[in-house]
Amino acid sequence: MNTIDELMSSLIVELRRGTLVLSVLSQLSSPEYGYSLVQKLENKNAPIEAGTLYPLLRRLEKQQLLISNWDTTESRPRKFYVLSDEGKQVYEHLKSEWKSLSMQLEKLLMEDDDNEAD
Amino acid sequence: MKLIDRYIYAVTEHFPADSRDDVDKELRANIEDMLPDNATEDDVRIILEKLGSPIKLADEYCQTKRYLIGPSLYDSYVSVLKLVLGIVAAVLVSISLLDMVFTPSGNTGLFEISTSGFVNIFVDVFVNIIVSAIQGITQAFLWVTLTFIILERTRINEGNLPFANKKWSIDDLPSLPIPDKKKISRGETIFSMSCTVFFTALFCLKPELIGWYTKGSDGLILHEPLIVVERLQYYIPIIMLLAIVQLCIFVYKFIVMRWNLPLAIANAIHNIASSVLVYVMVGDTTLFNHRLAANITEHAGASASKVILTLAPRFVIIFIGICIWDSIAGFMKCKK
Repeated sequence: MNTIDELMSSLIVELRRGTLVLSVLSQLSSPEYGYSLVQKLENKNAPIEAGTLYPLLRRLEKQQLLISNWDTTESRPRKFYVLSDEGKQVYEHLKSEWKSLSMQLEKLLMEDDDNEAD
Repeated sequence: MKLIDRYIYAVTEHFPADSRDDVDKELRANIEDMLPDNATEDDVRIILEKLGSPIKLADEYCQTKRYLIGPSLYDSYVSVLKLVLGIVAAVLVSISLLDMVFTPSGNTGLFEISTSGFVNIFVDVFVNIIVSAIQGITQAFLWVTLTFIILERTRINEGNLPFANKKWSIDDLPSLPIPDKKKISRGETIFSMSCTVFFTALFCLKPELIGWYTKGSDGLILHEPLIVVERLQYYIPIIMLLAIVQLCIFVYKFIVMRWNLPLAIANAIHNIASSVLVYVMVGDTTLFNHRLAANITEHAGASASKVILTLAPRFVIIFIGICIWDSIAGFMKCKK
């Protein structure tokens, strides 16, 4: 039983991992800093762990999809991330890819539901 | 907050300097954002635990290869390691035994041992065997591991020539099953590996065992060694280096089991280097013990010593011939 649970959770992690980049990119048309992004995603029912998000932001910046800036005007300095031009392009592309993918999958799963109903 | 410092240090300690400061600053800002105002130590604890193990976090930050030998090579690594360690241990033990049997000096010869000295000698030999076996095994372990690290990093194993950056094409697919001409048999590789280890160990550890033996009353006795050991010292590093390269090639052969271009190139380079070494060594008159020739003349007549002296240049020619043939054969076999 335990192994099934473990397998399940690792499969779920795998499923979600593919959508993480897309979720993060979707929220960065205006600048956000690490923790504000955690909260924003949590409020929209798409929680992401802080320990996953912070490294991911850095990686996306390295891949030149994000631009970062230190904001030192407030009491504590924060690093803000926003989509770069490449980032916007990639985001649009991924978005349409995701839509067609979820539609295909929806269709597959619907068929399966119908089969079960028979 | 001490706790936050420690946590961030644990995450960034192995990062390269330029990214370390940046990640430090960023992570610190993020953690402070996560904390409520006037945070207590308990609050910090909760937040850091939520962030999870610093090692895992560091892993997320730098997603490069953090292993020496990956899963695709691990199984062959273990099997090659076992094999090579076995060969090395066996060879070193047998050389120690040979040494024990043939060493002519006084009471270390096995056939002249009085019963009272037997225990002492037994202990001596035993200690010798253990020491040389451990040395050899450490060396073998090091070089096998190094070979696999190189295989892992350069991805030669996946058919990539290092530095060539060639894209995989359908022509690179190995035919199924491996044709006999291209195939390298495991047995052959194991045999060659044993020979290389044996001769290298003999040269490096007990060169005085190579020589002219005569049949004495107590069995074979070493009469005169062939090689001047002091002179041989100069060659030992090169012999060792070549043996190590050879061993790496064998390990690679053992894994891929078929000829391919990187293998043929490595084989050719090794052959050229060995030919040069043998050519230089045979030409080096100070390397050989001149008393040996006199000894042979004394025991077997002048003609015998002449025969042996003329053998040397022929030996070089034959050796180089074999090397050239072997190199060419390597390229031919990977073409087929």
